[in-house]
Amino acid sequence: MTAYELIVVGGGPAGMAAALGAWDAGARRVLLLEQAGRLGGVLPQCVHTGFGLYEYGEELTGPEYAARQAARLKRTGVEVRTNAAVLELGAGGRVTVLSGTEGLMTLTARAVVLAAGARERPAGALPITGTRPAGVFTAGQAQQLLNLGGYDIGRRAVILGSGDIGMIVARRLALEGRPPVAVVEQAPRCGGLARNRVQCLEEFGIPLLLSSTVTRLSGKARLEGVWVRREDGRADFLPCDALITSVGLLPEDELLLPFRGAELPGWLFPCGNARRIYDLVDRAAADAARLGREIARWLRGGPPPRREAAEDSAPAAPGPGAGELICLCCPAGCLLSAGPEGGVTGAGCEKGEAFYRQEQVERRRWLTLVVTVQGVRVPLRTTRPIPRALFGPVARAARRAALFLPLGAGQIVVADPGDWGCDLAVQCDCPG
Amino acid sequence: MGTTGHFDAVVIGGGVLGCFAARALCRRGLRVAVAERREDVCTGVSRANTAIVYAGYDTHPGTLKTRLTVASNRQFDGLCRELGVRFRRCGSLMAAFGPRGTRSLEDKLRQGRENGVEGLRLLDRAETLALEPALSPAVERALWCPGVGTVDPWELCLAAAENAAANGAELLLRTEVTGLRRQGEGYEVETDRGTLRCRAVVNCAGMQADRVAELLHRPTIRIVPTKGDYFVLDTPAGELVRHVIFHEPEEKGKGLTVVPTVDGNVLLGPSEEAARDRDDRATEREGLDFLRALAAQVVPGLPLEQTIRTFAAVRPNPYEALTDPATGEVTLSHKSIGEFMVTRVEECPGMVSFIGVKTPGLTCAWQLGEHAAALLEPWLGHPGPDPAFRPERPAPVRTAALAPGELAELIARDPAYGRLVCRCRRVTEGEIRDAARRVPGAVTVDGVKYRTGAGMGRCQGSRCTQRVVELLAQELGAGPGQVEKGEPGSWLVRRTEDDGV
Ligand SMILES: Cc1cc2nc3c(=O)[nH]c(=O)nc-3n(C[C@H](O)[C@H](O)[C@H](O)COP(=O)(O)OP(=O)(O)OC[C@H]3O[C@@H](n4cnc5c(N)ncnc54)[C@H](O)[C@@H]3O)c2cc1C
Ligand SMILES: Cc1cc2nc3c(=O)[nH]c(=O)nc-3n(C[C@H](O)[C@H](O)[C@H](O)COP(=O)(O)OP(=O)(O)OC[C@H]3O[C@@H](n4cnc5c(N)ncnc54)[C@H](O)[C@@H]3O)c2cc1C
Ligand code: SF4
Repeated sequence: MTAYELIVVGGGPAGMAAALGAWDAGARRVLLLEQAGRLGGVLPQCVHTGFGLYEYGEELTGPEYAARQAARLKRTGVEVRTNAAVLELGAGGRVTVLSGTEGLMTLTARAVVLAAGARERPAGALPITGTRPAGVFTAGQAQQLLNLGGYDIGRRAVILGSGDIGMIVARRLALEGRPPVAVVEQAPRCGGLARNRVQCLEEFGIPLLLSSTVTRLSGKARLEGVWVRREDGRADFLPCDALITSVGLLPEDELLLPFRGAELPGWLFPCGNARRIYDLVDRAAADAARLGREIARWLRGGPPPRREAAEDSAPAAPGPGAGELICLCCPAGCLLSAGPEGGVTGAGCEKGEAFYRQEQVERRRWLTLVVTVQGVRVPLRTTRPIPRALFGPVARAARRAALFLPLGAGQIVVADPGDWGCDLAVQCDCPG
Repeated sequence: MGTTGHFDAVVIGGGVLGCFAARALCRRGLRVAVAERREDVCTGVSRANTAIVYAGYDTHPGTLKTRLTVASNRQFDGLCRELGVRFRRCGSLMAAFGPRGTRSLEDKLRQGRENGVEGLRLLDRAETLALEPALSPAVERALWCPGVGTVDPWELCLAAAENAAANGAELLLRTEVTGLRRQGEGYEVETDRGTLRCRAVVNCAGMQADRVAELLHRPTIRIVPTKGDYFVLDTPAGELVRHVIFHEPEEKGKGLTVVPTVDGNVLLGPSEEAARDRDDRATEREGLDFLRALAAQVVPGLPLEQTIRTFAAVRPNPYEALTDPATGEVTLSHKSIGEFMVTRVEECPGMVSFIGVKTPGLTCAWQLGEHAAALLEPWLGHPGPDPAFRPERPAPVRTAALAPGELAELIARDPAYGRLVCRCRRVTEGEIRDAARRVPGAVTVDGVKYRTGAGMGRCQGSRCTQRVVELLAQELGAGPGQVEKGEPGSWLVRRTEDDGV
C-alpha cells in the first residue's frame, strides 16, 4: 500500500485544478487518477469556444482550456495516472483503483478529492411513453459521438431540453449540415445562456418550442418520430430519426453511495460537477483550486477546508426587444442598445460597445469544427471571429485541406481561407 | 447461404422454452437445431417479464402448471449452479390490505399446502412490517413464502442456449420458419435460409406459436396479445426492498408486483392493457400512471424518481380455437386458458407445440423442455441419456463480483479486464470482448448489454455506448456503422461524409 497526502479522483478541469491548487500551496505526494486514457474530462469533446473567459480573458475551446491546465500540471510534481478507474473509497482514505496496466491497486491518502464529474439524466428517467427504438441519445453522448467519434447520429434530430449542452449540440448538427428539426423546452423560457440561444439556435434558424415537451416515441427499430405536447395542449407529431435529450446533469455520486445518509468522512472532499453542477468551467476550476489549497494547508495543521463553494451566478437573460441585441462576448449576456449621441447603453464592460458597433456592420462569429486526419479527429478553430457568410467556404477549405499527422496545438492548417485575414488553427496536439 | 441439414429435432424459437427444449434433447444425445428468426436468442417474451421464480401456491392442485412449478422451484438452486446463473431466493410476501385480500391469502395458503409448497405462513401486520419495512403500514396480513426467488431471465436463457450449443445443438440465428411439411416419417422445416429435415419438431415460437403450429395443422389454440408496463429503479432503491412483494388488491383487478432483482434494481409492474398487435411493446401513460398510483399505496417509501427505465412486455394469452366444420370459421373461447398448453395433434406425431405459455413459464422452462423431450422419446425411438452430455455451463467472468486477488490474476493474464468501459455496472473491455466470443455471441449492443450489464445502469449507456459499438465492431470485423442496437434496422451511428456547411 502506497500512502499519499492527497489523491484526486478524476482528471477533468476540477480535478486538475484541485491538484494544482494543493501542489501550489505546498502539498506533496499528490496523485491524480483518471479513468480515461487522457486528461480533460468532458472538455476534449467541447470543441466550441466559451471556456476560460474569466480565468484567461480569452475565448478558448474545451481542448485548449484542458491543455493549459495539463501543461501547468506537468510542471509540478503531481503524479498523474490515466486509465486508472477508482472503484471504491473506503474508511481512512483507502482508494481502490482498477488499472489496465497495473491491475487492482489499493492506495491510501490523508485526503481524497472526488472530482468525478457528472452523468446525464437518461431519457429512461423521463415520463416518455411509446417504443424503445435506437436513436435516443443524451446530449453529452451525442457530442462525444459527433466530435470525438466522427459519427453521424441522425439526419433529422429533435432536441429535448434547451440547456447549454442541448443548444451547443444543435449548432454542431447544423454546422455538420443536418440542422435539428426543433429544440423542445418544457419551461416557458430557454434553459441556457442567452448567448447560446442567439448564436446556437436563432442564427441557425432552429425553432425553439417553449412550454412544450416530448411525450411519446414512435418507431420500431430506429426512431421515426416523437409526439410533442404544445402549450395549448395540442399534440404534434414531429418526424425525426434521433432524439437528443439535454435534461440535466446529476453529480456523479456513485462513489459516495456507501456514505449515504451519514456525514461525509473528514478526509473526503467532492468538488467540481461531482459536487454540484457548474455552467462555467472557470468557476468549477476556481472553486476546486481553492479547495486544493485549503486541503494542503489543513494537511499542514491549518483549519479544515470549507465545504461550501461560492454559488454560480447564472444571469437570467431577458429577450432582446426591438433595436436591442444580446452581447455574445461573455456569459453575462448584456442587453445592448443604441444610446444617446451614438453611444451604446447596457454594456457591462467595454467589449460590449465594440461588439454592438461590429454587429451594425457585419456579424462575426467564431467557427470551430472537427476534421478527420488519418483516422484521428482533429479539432480546428478560426483565429478570430469571422463573418457568418464565410462559415461555408472556410469549413469547405478545412475539409479539403491535405493534412498529415502529427499536428500541434496552434498550428495553422489553412492560412486565410476566406481571404479575410484569419487562419484556421489546430486546437490541441494530435500526435501521429 | 442456404441453411440445410438433417436433424433429429428442430426447435422453432430461441426463447427460454426453445433453449431449454434444445438442451433437454441434447441430453438425450439427439441432433438438434434451433431456428430463431432474430439475430440473437432471448429477444421475445423471455426478455421482458417479471423475473420471478414462483413456488406454486397460486395455481390449482393437480394441474401440470402446479406440478412443474413446484418441481422447478425445488431444484432451482441446483439448476442455477449447473448453469452458472445468479439466483436470489429472497422469498415473497403476498400482502393484503383488507378482507377480500385476506380471504384470498387464506385460500392460497390452503392451496399452497395442498400443492406441497413448503414454508408458507400467514403473517400479521407487525411480522410483515418487520420482514419488509418497505410495505405500507396499512398492510393487514401477508402470506410469506420463503421459496420464491428472482433470476435475470436473459441470463437464464443465454445460459441454456450456451449449454445447448456446447452440447452440439446448432443455433441457427436470423432464420425464420416460413413453412412446415410432413415428409415421410418426419418433417421439412422451411426457413428463409433453406430447408431443414428432421424427425421431430418442438414449436416454441412464443408470440407466434399459434401461427407456426397452423403452418402444419388445424387451429387448436390462438394467441390474443395484451401488454403490461414496468418501471426499473436504480440500485439505491433496490436496497429498500428485500422480498418479492405481491399486492393482493381489494378490488377485482391487477395488483402490483415489486421485485428486488439480482442486479440490485427494483422492478415494478406489470400493468394490464390492450395491445395493438403481437409486437406492440410501447409503454402507455395509463399503465405507468396506474403503477405509480399503486406503488404510492403499497410501497409508499419507494423513490420512483429513481426510475432509470420504463418498458413494456407483451403477453401471449391462449384461447381455445373452435373451427366451425361447415364454414371453416374460427371462433375463440370466452375465457383465456389458465393451464400450460402442451399441444399435440394426432395427424402430427413428433410435433409438440407450446402455445401461449405465460407465467410461470420462466420458472418452468427447464421442466417444460424436459417434458417436451420426454413426450417425443417414443417417436424418436427412446434415445437413452447421452454420456457425453455436459450439463455445466461455465459462467462468464463478472469482474464486479471477483475477489481482489482473482481480479488481479485475471488482469495479469489479460489486461483488457483492467479497462473499465461501463462505470455504472463496472463492466470491463474484457467482459465485452468475451460476450462477443461466446456461442451464441453478442452481435448487437443489446446483446452485449444483456450478457454483461454494460449500459444497464443508472446512465443507461450514455457514457459507454460508443466504446461498446467500437469494441463490438472490432470483434465482428465490421464497421461501427454496421453495429446495431438490436433488431435489424436499429442503427446507431454512421460514418460522416464530412458533408457540413
Ligand atoms: C457539453 C458541455 C458543454 C459545456 N460548455 C461550457 C462552456 O462553453 N463554457 C464553460 O465554461 N463551461 C462549459 N461546460 C461546463 C464545464 O465543462 C464543466 O463545468 C466542467 O467540465 C466540470 O468539470 P469536472 O472536472 O467537475 O468534471 P468532468 O469534466 O466531467 O471530469 C470528470 C473526470 O473524472 C473522471 N472520473 C469519473 N469517475 C472516475 C473514477 N471513478 N475514477 C477515475 N476517474 C473518474 C472522468 O473520466 C472525467 O475525466 C460545458 C459542459 C458540457 C458537458
Ligand atoms: C408480462 C409477463 C410477465 C411474466 N413474468 C414471469 C415471471 O415472473 N416468472 C415466470 O416464471 N414467468 C413469467 N412469465 C412467463 C415467461 O416469461 C414466458 O412463459 C416465457 O418467457 C416464454 O418463453 P418462450 O420461449 O415461449 O417465448 P419467447 O421468449 O418469446 O421466444 C419465442 C421465440 O421464437 C421466435 N420466433 C417466433 N416466430 C418464429 C419463426 N417463425 N421462426 C423462427 N423463430 C421464431 C421469436 O423470435 C422468439 O425469440 C411472464 C410472461 C409475461 C408475458
Ligand atoms: S458587455 Fe456584458 S456580456 Fe458583453 S462582454 Fe461585457 S459584461 Fe460580458
